Amino acid sequence: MVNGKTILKRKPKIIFYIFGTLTLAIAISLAVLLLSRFKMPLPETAVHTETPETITTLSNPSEDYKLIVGNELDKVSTLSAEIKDSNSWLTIELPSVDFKVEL
Amino acid sequence: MAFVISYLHMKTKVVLVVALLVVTALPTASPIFADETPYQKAEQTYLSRLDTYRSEQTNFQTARQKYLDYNTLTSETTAINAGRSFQEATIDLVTGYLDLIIEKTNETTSISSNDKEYLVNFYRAEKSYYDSKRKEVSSAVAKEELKALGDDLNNHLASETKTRLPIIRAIIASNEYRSYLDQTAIIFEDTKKFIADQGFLSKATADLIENWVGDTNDKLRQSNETMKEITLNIRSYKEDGGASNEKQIRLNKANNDLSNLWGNLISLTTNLSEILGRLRNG
Repeated sequence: MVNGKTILKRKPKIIFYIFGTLTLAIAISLAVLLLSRFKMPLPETAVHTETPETITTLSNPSEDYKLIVGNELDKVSTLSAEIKDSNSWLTIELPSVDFKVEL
Repeated sequence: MAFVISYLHMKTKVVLVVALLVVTALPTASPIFADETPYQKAEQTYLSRLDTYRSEQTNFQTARQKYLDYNTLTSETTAINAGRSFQEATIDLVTGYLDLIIEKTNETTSISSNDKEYLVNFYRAEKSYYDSKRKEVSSAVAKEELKALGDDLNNHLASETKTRLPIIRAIIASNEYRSYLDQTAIIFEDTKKFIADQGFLSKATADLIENWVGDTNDKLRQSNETMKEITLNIRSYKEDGGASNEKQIRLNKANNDLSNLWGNLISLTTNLSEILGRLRNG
């Protein structure tokens, strides 16, 4: 038999339960937020914006040269992928439609 | 009684947990799932409307055939309702395509202000026409009304929408390709500086790079000329009154050139990748 006293006794348990769930939810939210950070593009590094004229003044020209050329190569790859993809929307066409409703 | 209370108590717990988790976690997680661009959303909507259009077309054809076979009042009402739904679905399909075009326009940041104005004006006029016709279709009750609306819509589709869509598509593509061409030219200039900065190259590598550079130079010059031709033909098409067959020739030429330019852009970036790859690896 459940009476008023039993319900009152259970109340702290329910409050504890709500807080527990909220803590769990906040923890999940934080984890999700942290994960989403990894999806954001990384900020451009200083090396990426180096102009070719500065190469010769760097302490280790050979390695820096490779790095800068590598960055330029990445730019070309991205551009090439964009160009290839740019044609995809042109494949979507409006089909031949007919509004005619004749009975 | 105690069992019922205990059951309810347990059910409340479960509901409470699920509700709290959903309320708290979903708004945080939503940006991750909201990666779709407005263009991609418009594309999904268009594709879903294409399915609806096809199914409404089948429904209408079936209902029409039943009406022709039995000629009852019920079959007539069913056929009119199916006809109305079919016309609405067809309008939704066309406006879905127009939305796709405007989202592509918004997404293509390199579009010139003049071209953007042309595209937006086309979109607004077309959208306004189809929105107003959709209201008329929704309130149509007689088969004669649906027939008249169908004729109007077909005339507009043939004389305006379908006539102007090819030039609209060409305008967007030309602006996009011009931007790619400019970016390719900048990378090529940088690449030439990299070659100049490279202290030593074996004769075989130097010869190979020289060939690629020569080929890239030729392709870039050719692409710039093609781009000028495309721009000229599109401008003439937009601004000249001219006979319709001449306009069609200009449009066909522009589309053909756009296709060649796209191929050249791919080829140019391949050349640049080869040169840069060779420079990096020595």
